Amino acid sequence: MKVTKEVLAGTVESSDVMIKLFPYSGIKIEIKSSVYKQYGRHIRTLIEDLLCSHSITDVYVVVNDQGALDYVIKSRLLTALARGCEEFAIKWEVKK
Amino acid sequence: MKLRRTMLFVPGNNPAMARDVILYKPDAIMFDLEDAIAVTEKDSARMLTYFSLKNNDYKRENIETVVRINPLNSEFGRLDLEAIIPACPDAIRLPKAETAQDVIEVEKEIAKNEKKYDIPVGTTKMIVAIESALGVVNAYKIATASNRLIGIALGGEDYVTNLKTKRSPGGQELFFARGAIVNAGRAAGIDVIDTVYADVINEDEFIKETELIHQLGFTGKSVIHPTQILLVHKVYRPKDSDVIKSKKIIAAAEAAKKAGIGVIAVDGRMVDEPIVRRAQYILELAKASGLEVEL
Repeated sequence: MKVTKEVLAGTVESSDVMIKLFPYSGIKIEIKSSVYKQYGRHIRTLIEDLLCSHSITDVYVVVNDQGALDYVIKSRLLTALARGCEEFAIKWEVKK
Repeated sequence: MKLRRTMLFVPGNNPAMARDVILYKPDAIMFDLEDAIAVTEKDSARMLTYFSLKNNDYKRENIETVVRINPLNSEFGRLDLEAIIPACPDAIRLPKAETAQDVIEVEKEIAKNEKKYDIPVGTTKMIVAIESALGVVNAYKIATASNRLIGIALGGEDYVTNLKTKRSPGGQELFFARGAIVNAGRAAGIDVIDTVYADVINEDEFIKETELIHQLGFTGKSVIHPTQILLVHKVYRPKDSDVIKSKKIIAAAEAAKKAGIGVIAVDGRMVDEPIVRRAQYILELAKASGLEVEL
């Protein structure tokens, strides 16, 4: 699946993350984070795994992180993907 | 017995507040997907609230989780329930109810999603908000429209707009609605939550309003800022004399039960079941306020 239009989700408020998606051929991820040294690689892996699990093959992701927890990053990325892909199915799962 | 002295409104799209609320210890958190969220961000708030509920352990802090959804007759209401029910909030708050049928429709949609996600039907409770003159007129029918209902709340801002007036410090314009909703809620056997007070700087007026609604019989109040939580809890803190009296009543009730006696007497006076229940409620409030309640 590919992202077909430029979209964004999230904010640059503290504890949040702004994720912008652009149409692109292949996967490119650019990360700006207040905690890049400590968590840059972790954020990249989180995003790559989420793109893979949703079969996203073509997107340029720009991340502006303000100390967001993992679930906030996932939330904003999934929102952006739902906005940017033609048919993106969200799978809601029951809390264990 | 669940205390509902404070219900803290948190915009569903605010990750910092969703996380920090645990520090402030309200009795309940209400994630708002409705009026606090712009139309263009409804999807974003829904998604973040789903993740917030799944990833934060509010239950461990004894904080009840409530989600205010959009009305079912909007394009968002059904999508909200589809996302939120699997995240297992304690209750769904239905805004702007005007008839019993409004409650029944939401209940059907909740049940549909519980079945879809294999959640036992009936698990998710409901709180209904009355925000119009018609809603006030139908308050008792609304309050008894579903077994899932645990509370009825007043939405003061929309209500006074519907009345074609505005909020005032004394709250005269809310007098009838407050009385009607407390009466309806108590007749239905459910909790009653007062409306928000928007001026977070004016603590003196906020305390006055809280004292008024406490006296009127409200279970608690919706709040919009963490500083309001402690103020409400202080108003709802029982007097020491009431705590002492309640301990006596509970001790007498337990002694009577052990002895197999049906009649309870305290200080020479007969005490019946509603008084015992009130004593239990006072001790719950006292315990939550940090008072000593051991018999």
